[in-house]
Amino acid sequence: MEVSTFDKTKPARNFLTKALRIMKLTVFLLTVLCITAGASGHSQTVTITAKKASLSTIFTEIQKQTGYGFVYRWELLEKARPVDLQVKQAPLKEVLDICFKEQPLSYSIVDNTIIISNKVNEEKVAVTATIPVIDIRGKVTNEKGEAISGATIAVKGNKLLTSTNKDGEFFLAGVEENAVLVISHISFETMEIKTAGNKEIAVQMKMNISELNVVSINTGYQQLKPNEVTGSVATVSQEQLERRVSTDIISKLEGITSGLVFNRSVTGVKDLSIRGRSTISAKDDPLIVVDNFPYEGDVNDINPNDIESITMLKDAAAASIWGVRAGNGVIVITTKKGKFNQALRIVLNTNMTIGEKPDLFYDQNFLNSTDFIDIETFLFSKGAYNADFTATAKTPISPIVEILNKRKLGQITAADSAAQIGAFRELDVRNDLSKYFYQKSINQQYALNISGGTEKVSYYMSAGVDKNLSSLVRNKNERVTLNSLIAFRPFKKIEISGGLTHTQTHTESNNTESQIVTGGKYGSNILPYTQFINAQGGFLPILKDYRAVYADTAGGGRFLNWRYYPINELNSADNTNKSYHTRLNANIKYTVIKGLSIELKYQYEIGITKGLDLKSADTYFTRNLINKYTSIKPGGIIKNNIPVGGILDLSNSNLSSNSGRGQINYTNNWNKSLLSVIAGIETREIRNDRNSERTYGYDPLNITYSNVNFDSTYSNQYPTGSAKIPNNKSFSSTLNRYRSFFANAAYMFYNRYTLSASARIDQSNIFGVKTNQKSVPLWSIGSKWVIDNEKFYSISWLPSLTLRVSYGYNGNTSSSLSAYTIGEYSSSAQFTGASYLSISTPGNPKLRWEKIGIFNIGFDFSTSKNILAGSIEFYRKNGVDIIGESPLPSSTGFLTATGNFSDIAGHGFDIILTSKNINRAFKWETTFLFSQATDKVTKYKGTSVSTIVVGRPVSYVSSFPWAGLDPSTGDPLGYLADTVTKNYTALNLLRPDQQIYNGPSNPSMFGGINNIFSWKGITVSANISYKFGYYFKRKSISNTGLYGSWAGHSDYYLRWQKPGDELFTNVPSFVYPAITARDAFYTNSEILVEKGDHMRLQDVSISYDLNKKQLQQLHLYRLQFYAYANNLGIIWRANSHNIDPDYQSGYPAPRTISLGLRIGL
Amino acid sequence: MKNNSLTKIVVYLLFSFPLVSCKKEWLDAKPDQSLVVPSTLKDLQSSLDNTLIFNVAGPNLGELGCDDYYLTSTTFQTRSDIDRNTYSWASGDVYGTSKLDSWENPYKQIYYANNTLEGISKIEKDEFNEPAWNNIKGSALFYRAWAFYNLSQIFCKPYSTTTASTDLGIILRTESDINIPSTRSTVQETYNSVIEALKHAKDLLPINPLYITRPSKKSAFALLARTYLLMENYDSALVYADACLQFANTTNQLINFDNVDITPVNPFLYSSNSEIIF
Repeated sequence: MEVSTFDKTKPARNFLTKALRIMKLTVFLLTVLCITAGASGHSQTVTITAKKASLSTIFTEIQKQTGYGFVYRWELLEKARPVDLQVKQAPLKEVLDICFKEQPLSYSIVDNTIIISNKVNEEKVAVTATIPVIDIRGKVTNEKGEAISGATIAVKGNKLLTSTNKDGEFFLAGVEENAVLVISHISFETMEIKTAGNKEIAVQMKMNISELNVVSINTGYQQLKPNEVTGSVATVSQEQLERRVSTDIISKLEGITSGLVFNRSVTGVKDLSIRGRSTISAKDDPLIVVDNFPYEGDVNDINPNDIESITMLKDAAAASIWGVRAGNGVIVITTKKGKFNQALRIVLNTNMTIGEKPDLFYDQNFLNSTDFIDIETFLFSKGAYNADFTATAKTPISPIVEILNKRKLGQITAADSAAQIGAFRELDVRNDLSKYFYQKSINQQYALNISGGTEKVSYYMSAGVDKNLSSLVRNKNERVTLNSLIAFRPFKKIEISGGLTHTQTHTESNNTESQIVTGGKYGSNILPYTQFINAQGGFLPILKDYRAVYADTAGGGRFLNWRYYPINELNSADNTNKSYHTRLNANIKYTVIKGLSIELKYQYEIGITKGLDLKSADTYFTRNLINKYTSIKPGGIIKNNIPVGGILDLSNSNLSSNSGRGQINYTNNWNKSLLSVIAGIETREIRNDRNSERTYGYDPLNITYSNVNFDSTYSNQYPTGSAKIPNNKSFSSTLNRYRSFFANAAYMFYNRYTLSASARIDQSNIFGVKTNQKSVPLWSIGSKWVIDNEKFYSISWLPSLTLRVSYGYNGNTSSSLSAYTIGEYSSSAQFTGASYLSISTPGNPKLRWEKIGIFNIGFDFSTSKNILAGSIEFYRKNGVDIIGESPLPSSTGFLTATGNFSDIAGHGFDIILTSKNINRAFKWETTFLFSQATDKVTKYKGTSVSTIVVGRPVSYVSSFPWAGLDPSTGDPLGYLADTVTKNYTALNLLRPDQQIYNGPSNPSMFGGINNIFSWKGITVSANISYKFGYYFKRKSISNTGLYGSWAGHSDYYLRWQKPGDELFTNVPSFVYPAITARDAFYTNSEILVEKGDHMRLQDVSISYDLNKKQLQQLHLYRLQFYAYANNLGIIWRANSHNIDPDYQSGYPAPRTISLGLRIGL
Repeated sequence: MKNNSLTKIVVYLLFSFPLVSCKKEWLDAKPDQSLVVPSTLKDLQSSLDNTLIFNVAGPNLGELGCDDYYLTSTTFQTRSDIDRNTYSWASGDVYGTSKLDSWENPYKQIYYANNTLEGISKIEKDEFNEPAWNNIKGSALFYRAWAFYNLSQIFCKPYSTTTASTDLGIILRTESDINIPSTRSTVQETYNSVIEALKHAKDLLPINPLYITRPSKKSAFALLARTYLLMENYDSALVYADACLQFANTTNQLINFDNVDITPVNPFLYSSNSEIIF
């Protein structure tokens, strides 16, 4: 903000120019006077004789004689009457009184200056007689010095009010000398200025923060000015998007968008949620809209560099225009566009991101080799593996057990046994996994865009290349995006635009780490002393699926090698996925008359994904399958029922969507009121076709293949079992159709009240027939009250205050449910032998969308100079017709059905605060986001999903009541009806509703703190994110798991071993044989439930922008260097077990560091 | 003028283009192609040929409680709650922990029949599909009447001309929509519904069905005769009994018990029993 009285250096325009000229003179004269006052100088008397003389002539004469200067507007003197004057040696005041007697003007003398102004109303003078009043004139400009018209200038504590004209000028008469002027404009920050006696004021206003960041809010149907919005929206600006470096757009939203949280528990899984959950079993992710239409493709295909802004629609007033797909909130993504009348701009952004190797030692589900071997030895001595040696399924047997068995059979000496076992004790499979299967990730990003426009045409074109080398060795992802959008106005009233976006993605998933599992009863666990490469560098096999002895000797040596060599597998994998996604847009907008326009929009989306997984004859998968199906004929002749050769799995998926929309827009504003109405029709069709097939005996060199017999059942498989050869053929096809009618209206009046209403009818082939016939709309109403525009409003420290209230319904659909009666064919009915049809699911002609009623109330405010600005919103959700199970009267023919039978409720609040802590050359700004969201099932009658309990959230943690460890045995103790018990069977029967309710399993409070520091083009920002108010059940050791399936955990070391241990541990003692119910009780008990609360330093970004001068020298319009560090780590966590609640198993997202450059030409 | 015609074109485009797909059937497309939604004549006939539903799972409470058979006390003890309670005519809760088969099975048949009737109403009858179409509709009407009849024999008071219009009948479900609340009819309504459906069915059904498990004119006449008999409308009962026998005389034969081989456990087989009309 800058306020100044006029001085010599200020540029001036219009009347000010002239006034200034005079003032310059005045100042000069004053200076002279000051110096000469004591000496002779000018006289204080005047001698003039004039007839019909103009005032200006007289002023010149007076000035000559007295040295007093005059300040006035030329226009004022135009009103002045000619003066007859005959004075001799008269005092100045007397002369002036005569001059002004008949004039519509008055004068005042301030020091040696005479100021001319319009004659002040006598009454006003009387009222404010005690305090001197002045007339104030001024000019309001924006930061670029351009005039702002329509700004309101009010005098605080007074009714005086005026507004600026088209030149940004204003005039206020009779203002108290020490008054405070409040200057406001919808798009600018409200300012307060002390007049301090100044009569000429130049005001430079600053753009509103929200205006700066978001020029307008895009709902996907219309662009709204922030003041037209009555609903709850969150916006993410381009600056915020640019701050983060990432390949995809969605992960840029985390921690900076109010009300949005990523629910995570396992590495790689992120479940987006806006304002908590509002469904039990239907889709719970928000609708993603790109350029006005729902995006059906993979959101990762969108290049974040092409994104202009993102708007999140949270409540009913904002989102109900999206009807049955708005229930989980809507994320509206708007891509960049060229502007008419804009010079050519070329922007290049390039960066490189390097990520640390994942920390495999983080996972606590591991037991050191030496302790593991001791346990195996103990189990062997107890005979735990006896059955394995004779199992027909040829269960894997660990090398330690094999050695122990050889020793038992006397095949090796005790010394050999000890030596062989000893060699395993120091090994750690995590070292090999980390060394051969993980690497530092390297992501490269290049994005170039060109935009510009003439009066009739605007264009935006971009190309982007992303090359990502994953932290998993041999996994990579390459994406090329091409984007073009052209808009032109052939005639004044018509605007036509068309866009084409094409994305090609090439993904290689050749890392085989996930195949390194033992299989059989050991599932995904592997021995901690597994090695991949021996001391000589030779590939070592791991134990997988079968006992090693069996794999080596089956078929009498006539089989293919049946062992799994991890390094060989990693090298042989050839699994690629190519996807092509094209989006075509066409829009025509015709302005019928000013304010009324008709728009047609069309979008076609096509996506093709082709998967190719060639498992060569070298791969274990192929060798295993061939061996399994081999027959050995009498005489030892081998017959490979599956030919020796590669196995090729191909998959195809095609997506196509067609969307059309016709819309009428009407806006009119008159007399401080604004009416904006849209109405339209929309149809959409989304088709998904998928198929997959397998080819056996495939040779990629000659492109040959072999036929196999899929019909025969091979009854003597190796090692056991009977089955047909899997053909891996599948087809699926889905088709969703929607037809919708929508309307939305907003009415603003008196500059301070806004009312809005919206309604939408959706029909779809996923709803029941009766639902479509009824056409019940989803609707919303909203209101907004700009309180600070009220006359009575006088809170000076809070110059901006707005209240918003809205209510309405959003919908949500479940595509897994069918409204149709579904049957199944069977052959050969009893008595007739004819084929017959059974009805498996009854039709539900009333199947409809879930309906989420949302009440939202919010305050937006800012203190003076926007030092503290923000909003507080509270909402209540009431979901009805939620998809759930319900018993049916058996007279319907069915006992249960899934349909709109349940209810859910939720509430919460969102707070955003932005504080300008320091706002000088050095700037420090803090943004604080805090959201709370809870959900609760309020009606549920089904039984099939046993965890749903009325009164609890959809996902929650419950546990068995814990009573500590038995001091004499270390057995876990529980409570049954307040009695301490070891009756594990009974404890395990406690239903979720009878267990202890710990709390929600998704964060109920979350947000972020973002600090931005900037100084001379250098910007440093850091983002802290936090999640509170949720629980998780941590893993621990279990006898059953460790004995039966090698599931290790570091809690093993904390187990109860002797009386007294119960004082410092809760890990039960180990018993043999394992008691499954005892372990099930412990692993699901209260003692393992941890608070998920934590805070993490998400990222730090540093950027340096060259200043204008430097840019001019380089002939650039922008040059920015930036560095970005992500996933920096946890600052605080509630649990004391060193578990990152976002990554309860696996490994935390590795830290990454990026360096980049943005150039604009 | 130029402007005006342009406006017309735009307005026309605006409204015509989203509406091209506004035909009613557009929204009837199956959302998932892999789902079997019974809608063709073959699907509908196949659902009526489900013998597990229509031919082996009738209500058995009436038979259980009658004196056509006897149990030894040892066998009696091994039977389910419902079997024992029905056999011994116990008072109070007859069902105990048993499933309500005698209630649920007929209503399952009614669901299948209603679903078929709704399906057939969407298929146009023409000269090519007429026999199949008639058979499906006739069969569905017969099956539903038969299920209503069977339910009424177990869960209603016997028909009495004086109280039939006030005595509570069974729940008459005539639509497959599971959302429709179940309300009880009167005995009169129940019988009327049976009679009405059968009279309609008898005109559609063939004299001789393809399979003996399927209903025919004979079975419709027979059930009409039996229903009228229970309504003490002996004249009509006679007419339909006579009509049934006339058709049956040409296609079915009485078994000569002298020739029956009584050595097998089940001497009378459903498939080879010439007396069975349905």
